Amino acid sequence: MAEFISKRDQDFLREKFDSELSNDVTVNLFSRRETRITLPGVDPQVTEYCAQANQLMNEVASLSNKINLNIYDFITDASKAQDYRIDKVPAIVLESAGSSGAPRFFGLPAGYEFSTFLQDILDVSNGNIDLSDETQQQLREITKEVHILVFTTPT
Amino acid sequence: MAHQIAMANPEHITADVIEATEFPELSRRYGVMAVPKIIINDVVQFEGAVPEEMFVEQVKRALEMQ
Repeated sequence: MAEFISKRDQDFLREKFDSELSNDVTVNLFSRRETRITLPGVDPQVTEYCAQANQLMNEVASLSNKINLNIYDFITDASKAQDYRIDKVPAIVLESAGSSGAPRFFGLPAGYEFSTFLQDILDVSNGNIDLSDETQQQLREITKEVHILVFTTPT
Repeated sequence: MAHQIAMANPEHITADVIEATEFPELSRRYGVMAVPKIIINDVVQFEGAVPEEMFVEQVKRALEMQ
């Protein structure tokens, strides 16, 4: 498979990560391994999406030694998936000592979402939240569970 | 924006960005016709990018409806 990130973008991102990442970032990828046979009940399309996510995350992780990639299998690492409340794959959860937040992506963060993904990496690393103080204050006052789903497409 | 909101209160707020074409059943269940489509606690939904103040209002509205 050809690389997702062009050589030019790789150079740009390597420099950006080098100058802007402070704390290490862990990229937790939950996916399904490719099998030689088509397993009954497993949509082959899902395995294909997982292979793409696997490749893209490997490319991103290779751009900085501050980005660490953990790959978990949805089936064999089921308890890990449960810990992270992952119910579908591919799924990506970002973590860093720089932030207690853990941005979650389901499906390949490609196209326009790739820039969100990159910004999230920087934000968790640096503990940056791009919202006004007033908005942040209002959000901190929330004491009930809130679950937000954002449906996107790559284009 | 949703991830920023979750990062402001990670103990209580979770935000999932979902690629709609990779999860067609889920997208159908939530009636995703245009993107971005935002669903909060299964009770509030809206389409399109909104300023942060409006997003927070929608979060509060979802909590009031429960």
